[in-house]
Amino acid sequence: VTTILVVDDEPDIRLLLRMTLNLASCEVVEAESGEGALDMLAARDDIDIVLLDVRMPPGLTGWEVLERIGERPTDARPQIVMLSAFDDAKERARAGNAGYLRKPFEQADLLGTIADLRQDQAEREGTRAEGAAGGREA
Amino acid sequence: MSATDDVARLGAILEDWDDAIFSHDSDGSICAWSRGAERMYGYPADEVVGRSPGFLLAGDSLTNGSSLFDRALGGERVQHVETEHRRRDGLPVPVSLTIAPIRDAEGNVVGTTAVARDISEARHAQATLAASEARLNEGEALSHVGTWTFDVASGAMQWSAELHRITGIEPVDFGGTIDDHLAAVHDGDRDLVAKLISTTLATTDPFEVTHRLQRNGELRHIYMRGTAVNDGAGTVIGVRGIAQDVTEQHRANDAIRAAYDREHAAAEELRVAAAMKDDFLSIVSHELRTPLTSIIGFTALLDQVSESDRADVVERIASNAAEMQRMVERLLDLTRLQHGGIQLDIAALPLRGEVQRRVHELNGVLKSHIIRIAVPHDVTVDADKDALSHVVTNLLTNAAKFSPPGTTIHVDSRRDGSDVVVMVSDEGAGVAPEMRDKVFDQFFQASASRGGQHGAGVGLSIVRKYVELHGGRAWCESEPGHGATFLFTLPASAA
Repeated sequence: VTTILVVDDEPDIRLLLRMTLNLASCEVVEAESGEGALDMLAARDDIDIVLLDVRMPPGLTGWEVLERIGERPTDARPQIVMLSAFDDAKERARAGNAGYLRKPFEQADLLGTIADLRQDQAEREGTRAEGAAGGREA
Repeated sequence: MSATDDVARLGAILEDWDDAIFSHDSDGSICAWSRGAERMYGYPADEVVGRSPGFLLAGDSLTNGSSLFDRALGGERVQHVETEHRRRDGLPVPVSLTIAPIRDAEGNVVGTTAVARDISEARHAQATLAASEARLNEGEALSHVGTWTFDVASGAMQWSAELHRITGIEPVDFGGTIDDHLAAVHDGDRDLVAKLISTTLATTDPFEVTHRLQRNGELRHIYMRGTAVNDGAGTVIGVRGIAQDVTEQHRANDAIRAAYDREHAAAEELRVAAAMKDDFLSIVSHELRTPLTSIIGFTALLDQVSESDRADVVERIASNAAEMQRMVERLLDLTRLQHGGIQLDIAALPLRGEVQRRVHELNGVLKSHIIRIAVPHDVTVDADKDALSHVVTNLLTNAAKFSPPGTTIHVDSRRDGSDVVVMVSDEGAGVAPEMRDKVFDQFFQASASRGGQHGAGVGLSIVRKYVELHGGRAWCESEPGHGATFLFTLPASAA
């Protein structure tokens, strides 16, 4: 089961994401601020994906949260998708290796993005498992 | 020493004198002709002795000249009369003529002695001086540059003709002292000019200044420059300088500067407006996208969720659609308010009922808050129904946005003279003192400074504009940490 942390200051957006992702058999946890998201990530190690809104006044922005997550050890880093209602190529570029989803999004876009990430994750885990197995054999 | 010796010595002196000296008898014929006379007129003595002096007279002096000799023969003393004589070569020579009668022991006039001085050089110098003065005068008038000279010893201040024109003070009205000069200077600049002149006298440093003066009740600007005058031995004996009326340049400069400032301000205003518009568009599109995301997302869920969740999804769609509608309404309001396209339809409105209706309409927005309406039942205001609705809606929405769920929003009113003051209070983080007026600015976004949700920054500016259209005012009172109260006044209806 994929666990997804939804970070958005708008309750309706959190509700929408929870309902949609539940339909795709994901487990959803929520944070209403950047600070709440970092607390959640510190407390739980089962979060695979973070859906992160960029603008959450008055606290940390999504970009700041992205930076903090980037400081974590590689294997403790969940995959991240930035959510932004600003339509700006610069923002998209700023997301770098993280995914980027512009609001409003179609349900298919959201589910497609999540599906891609799950596949990546499965591949990586497979590689890691193979590597580990190979190591034991050698 | 004998009298003869004296006469001889005197004669020798007179012979060598530069002036022409000649005498004639009582019958008018020349009896003595000095060497000076020979040099001046070109006639040797032997050519003129025995002749009447009429041959010396030329042009205009013909009649005048002979009568001068006649007047002397008549016993009158003629002194320093300027006239014109003719030399032997026919050229005229200007002379200053003095003729004294010679008397015998009984006092009878027995002849005359004339002394004629050649004044052609003096004449020439005078003419040159007059010409250069005329040129100077003309130059001053053309350039509007006047000159002035202050002499320390006599205390005299001399002005050129142009300076009299510049100051509008006629020579007859000018006392000619430094105080008279300073009296012409504007009250506000007089001490400065006095100080500059005295400093130049003390230090010999030149000065320049532009001072004001009143000429015939009109304010003029005068550029003045002064330099020390010394006596050649290094002692300062005065100050002289120029003064120029620069009022027109001053006005032109002022006009240019004003035009530049206006241009600059307009450009800056445009720049700010353009930047604001960009920010505004970006914010508005951001704000509209948020409910739109919910509407699109929840709509997709409609036929995917369980029957029990469906009502919830529909409600979310409806409330987000309503939120979008309010946003669009606010934008339209703002546009109308900015372009003055609002016609108020003033009527006596029961305040409590109007507030209750808005609270009811905003059920979705206000459902997490406790609403307390303390407005007395009998309060009525003279207002436009739509405008009042917008004002109350914006303030309630604002209060809900900026205070935590579960807290109370109070609406109250009190009478203040002929006005009713309406108060909408929340229990949120409050507004910092320096932000209390700024929150009413168009496009101001409180989100960064006030804990709570964002907005396009138009709601409170709409409130203020609507209230002001009614002749009222809108403001904010707040103690940070203890919530904010937004107040506005409207005219109370006549009882």
